[in-house]
Amino acid sequence: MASLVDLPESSAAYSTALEVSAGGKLYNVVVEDEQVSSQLLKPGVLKKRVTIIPLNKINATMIPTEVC
Amino acid sequence: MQKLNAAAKIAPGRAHHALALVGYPEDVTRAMAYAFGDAIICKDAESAKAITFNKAVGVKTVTAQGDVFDPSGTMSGGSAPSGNGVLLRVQELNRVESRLSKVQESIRRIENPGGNANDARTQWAELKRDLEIKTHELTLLEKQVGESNASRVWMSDHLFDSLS
Repeated sequence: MASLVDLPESSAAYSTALEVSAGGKLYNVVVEDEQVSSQLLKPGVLKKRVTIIPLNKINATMIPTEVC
Repeated sequence: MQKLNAAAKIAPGRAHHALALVGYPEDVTRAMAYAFGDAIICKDAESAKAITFNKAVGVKTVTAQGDVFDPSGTMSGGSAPSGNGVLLRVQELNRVESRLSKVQESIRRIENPGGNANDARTQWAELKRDLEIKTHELTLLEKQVGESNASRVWMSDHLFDSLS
């Protein structure tokens, strides 16, 4: 997850705040769909416990905003 | 509900949606929204407090120092978060990796013509060896001819001719 983030120069000052707001989610693993994640979660594939984000299943809670 | 706009009104220029502050590849938008979509980043604690505890907004805010104001009433902060600077370090890593891949690409480009030159060199070496073998064969044959009886007769005839 963290490796996918491209931090623009303009928000470098906010890096700490962004880290805190994402928290542990920075260390989640992004995968294509839930089939990949279930394959990854089979016993013996991964050494550490991870949270996986399947892109087709994830439901983000967004701050409601006006669509311009 | 237009909470983001309300937040922008409460603290103009000091509040940003966390998702708007990061860049990311188009195809992982949903994952980014999951990680950064639920927070507002504020420059200072006052505006963060005002936004989080405003009835019309009530959204989690994080100050530039890393203090968190949660609408449920909790605040956290006071010390540097664990894993401090991981985003910046990852930025550095990404930069270095892209430079590495560029350098590797240029190495490949430089080495490929070199590979062709190597081909020419091996060909040359093969041909040279062939030539040496043939030259050696030639000297052997010449020696053989020189030692044969027929050539001796011919040579002696030649000698008489030149003497007379």
